[in-house]
Amino acid sequence: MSSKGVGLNARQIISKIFVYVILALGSIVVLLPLQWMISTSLKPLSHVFRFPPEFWPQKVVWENYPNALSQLPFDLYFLNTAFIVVMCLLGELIVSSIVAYAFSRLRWRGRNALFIVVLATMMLPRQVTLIPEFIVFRHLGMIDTFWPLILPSWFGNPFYIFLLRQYFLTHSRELDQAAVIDGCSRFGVFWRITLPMSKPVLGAVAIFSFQFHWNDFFRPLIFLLDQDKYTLALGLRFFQGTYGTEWNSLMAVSLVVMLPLIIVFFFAQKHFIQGVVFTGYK
Amino acid sequence: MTNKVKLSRRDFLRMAGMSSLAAGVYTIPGVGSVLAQDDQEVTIFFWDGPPLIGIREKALAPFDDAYPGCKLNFTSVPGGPAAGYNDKLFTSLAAGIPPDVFIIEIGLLPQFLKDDLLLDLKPYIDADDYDLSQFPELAIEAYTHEGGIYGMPDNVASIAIYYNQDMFEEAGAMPPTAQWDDEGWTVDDFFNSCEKLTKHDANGNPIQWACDVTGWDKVWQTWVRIFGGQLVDDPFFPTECTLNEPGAVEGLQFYADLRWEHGFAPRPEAMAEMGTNALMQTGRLAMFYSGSWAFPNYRETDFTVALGHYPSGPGGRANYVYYYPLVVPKTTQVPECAWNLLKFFNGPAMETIIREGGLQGTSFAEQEKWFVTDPLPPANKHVMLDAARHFVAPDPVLTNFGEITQIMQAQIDLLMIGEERDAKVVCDEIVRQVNPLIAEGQWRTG
Amino acid sequence: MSLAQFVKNQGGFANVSIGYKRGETVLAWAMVSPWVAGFLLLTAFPMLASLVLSFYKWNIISAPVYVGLANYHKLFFTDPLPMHSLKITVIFSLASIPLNIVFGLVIAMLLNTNIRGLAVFRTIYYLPAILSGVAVAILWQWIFSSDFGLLNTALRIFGIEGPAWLGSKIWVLPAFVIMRLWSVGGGMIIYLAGLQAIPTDLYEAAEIDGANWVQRIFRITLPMLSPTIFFQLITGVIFTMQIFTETFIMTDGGPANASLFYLLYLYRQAFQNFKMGYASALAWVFFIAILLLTLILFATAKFWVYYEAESEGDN
Repeated sequence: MSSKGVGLNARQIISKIFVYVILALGSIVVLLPLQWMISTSLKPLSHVFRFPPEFWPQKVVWENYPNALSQLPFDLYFLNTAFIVVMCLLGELIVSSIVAYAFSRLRWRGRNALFIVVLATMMLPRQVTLIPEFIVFRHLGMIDTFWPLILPSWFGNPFYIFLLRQYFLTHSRELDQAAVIDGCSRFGVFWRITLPMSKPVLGAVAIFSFQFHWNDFFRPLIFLLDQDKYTLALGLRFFQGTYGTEWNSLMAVSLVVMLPLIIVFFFAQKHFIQGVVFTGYK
Repeated sequence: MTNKVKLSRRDFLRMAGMSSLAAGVYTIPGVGSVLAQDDQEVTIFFWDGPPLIGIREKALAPFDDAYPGCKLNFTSVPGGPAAGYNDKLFTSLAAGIPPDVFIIEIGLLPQFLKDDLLLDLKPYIDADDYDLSQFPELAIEAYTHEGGIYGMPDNVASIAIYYNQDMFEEAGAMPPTAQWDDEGWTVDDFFNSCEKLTKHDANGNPIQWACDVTGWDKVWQTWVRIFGGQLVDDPFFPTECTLNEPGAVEGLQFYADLRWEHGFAPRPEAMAEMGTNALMQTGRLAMFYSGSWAFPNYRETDFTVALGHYPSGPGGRANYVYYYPLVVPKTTQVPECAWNLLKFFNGPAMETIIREGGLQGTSFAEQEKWFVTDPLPPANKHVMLDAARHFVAPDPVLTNFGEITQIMQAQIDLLMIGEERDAKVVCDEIVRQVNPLIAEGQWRTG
Repeated sequence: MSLAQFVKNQGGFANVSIGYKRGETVLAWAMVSPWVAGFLLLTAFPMLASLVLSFYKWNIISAPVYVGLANYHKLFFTDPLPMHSLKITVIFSLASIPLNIVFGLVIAMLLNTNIRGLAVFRTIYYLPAILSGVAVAILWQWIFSSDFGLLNTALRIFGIEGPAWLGSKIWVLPAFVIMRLWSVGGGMIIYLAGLQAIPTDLYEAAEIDGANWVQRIFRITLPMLSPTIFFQLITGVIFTMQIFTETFIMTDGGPANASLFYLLYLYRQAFQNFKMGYASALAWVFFIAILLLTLILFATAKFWVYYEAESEGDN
């Protein structure tokens, strides 16, 4: 890091420009399709498929947004979704990291066999377990409540358990041992050392969890009956109609629904994954 | 490797033991277990999206007042039959808590009838002296089994040809007829119009197409019928697939050749609705097929859009009409209210459903009053009503027609994408694969 | 020797070679108990029920009928579509998984440098992963449209007449691979987290030793990131093989079954054809296949996955 603060030499400048060019080109590829979504959301239905495509609508119809959003009680759906997402996120962060700690930094009999079972639960297609699961929740009296959506998160999610396990395994054991010698309990090690060291991966879990439950369509569809309990993802799915699709409304609603996710991501990644740890391209 | 190997075997056994213990806690309840429901509440499942969202619910809102003692619980399930509704409906059925009234695709009805799961509405129809002649006769016949009637129409939805009138006038081509019994507008007329409507640039690249060729099952099946072919020997009591008979093969060949032999149609798109709308709206396609659900796309166009019938051929004129039923499960605790709801739906609610929801409607009288008279484009809306009145070709009544459709479509695709140019080859293969399935799906005898 | 032990002995798991401490075992079981409880309460029964149902004929709406091995016999011997759909699913996965791992890694490394606008770039690359479901499927139908789609319009600039992507038996699988690649930024966040865990002193030491950036990537970054890459590989296999939504909405398996991925075929049997018993058999064959593949990958891990926490375990 000796060159830091002294100014950039020619090679560093070239490599920086190189990185910018690559990132900018990639950004265009990523953003072009999204641009189509935005322009479609602002077109009248009869202009959606003009050829050659209008990259910006000739006639901008801002009313598409209020019109589409007023077709369903999206404010209510937003509150329902926010509640479910926050509850799931808390459960997944807390429980998955506890379980993952046992699978990575503790040594005990049956650890690896049980871990196979954890992974295996992700491998059976949900289509065939759906009905039995519905019956389980019916016996628990939880149909048409948020419980079937939230409860599983509080038992640990295999995807996050696996992710956290992999991350925890990259920490050196010496730290734990030193802490134990200093009189720290094993759980204390988890709470005071492992978790604080894992901020980036916990941020990743939070972002993933938030996004997954925000977009999840299938479980709310199956377990909720009362339309007042519907979520944003369900509301969005209404726009893929049985009788034709209103492309502009669908795009408008999709963009509005994803907006909170963009904001959450922007700030979460800033907070959790600060960026420069090393200067890799000198 | 110092740890001994006994660990994980014991672990597995332990896990297995616990799992089976957990399994013992639950047992799958039988279908039709008694429902703990309020006697007065009647639940209904629909699958509406825009522009229908909220409209059906609004139209049914006065039901509670019209039938004191009944209370409507309306649920709209997002995603349509394919992308959510069926999953939810079947899950509810399997768990023994189905709604009291629900809509199903017509292809699912035979399985429900075979398993004797639906309430016979005939006693209620007779008691009320309810007039069924206001609905397409074949739809009612499809809902009928051994004298009982097990459904009421949710909507009647005809497919018509949408055409760009300006393009026809400019090309001097004969437009699709709006009169069902018109002696003109034959298959030859259709072909001649296509020739006039197809245009190429100086390099021979197409810039304007006459018609659309899609894999949409109801459209190619209509072309089969126009040439005198049939899918099966008898739609109500099918025993074999007849798609390899001359009329059927000729119809499919004619249809596929429109694209691959004559270049009248653009290249295939994965999603017919999107591709054809794009071309149609930009004045590069003269004709395509759709139902009334496409009306909103053609309310503000720079050209005039009108509706017309399919041409007539050796088999006469043909069409397809969707006729999904609303059904009531046998296990319902509120059969009277369910029947009242069906009556209310097809009666007082229908005006709002047609005028605000954009559906074609169920009874002929209501269609005449509200659907045909809608002044917004496209023109000739009575074409769809005519088609519903002359509907002659219901889906084969088999428990597995959905599966048969999947098999047929995979083969038809080969024709549509030009992998196979000979319709006979495709038809023979369909018959070979489908006949054993017909045997499997037969469930009643004539 | 059970398969699990085989894998363990191969070192695929973190190598456990010291004696167990009683207190640690008790604490471990206490810490995994939430998952065990959830498994027994919510997951085990549905899994077992589907296994049992795979020996039944069940149309969902009536009582199941026992048919022994008939569903499995049909799957392996009389119905050609399961193996066809498994084949195209594997082909798709073989292309998609490596591409997504490599691209995800490259993007993450680029976005782990000290450049301006990092947060904005990261958000841009993550955007496609945020979008899901129908809107994305429709968006890509438009992109792949043969006559007016974005992709073919772009290709025309270079004088190339693109294929009818989703309407072509040959191009439909590449189209889905491209589509998955678009949302590669979803995995970025996991790589970034992994990159943060690499101690900077390693790079400083390497710099002093005169290692160039290529050497640093191959000697430090990749080995230290191997647990993360391993995670992406395993979950990539599990979830890429389960590709469903895209084909379900965009092509419905077509044209001519060219995109009939395994789960779409399974879904058709379960919720369109009233054959839940057969669907369950399909699911369990799939389950076993994925499980075996995962175990094999775990067995390879000892050759290339480096776990800091286990490296000094033998002392």
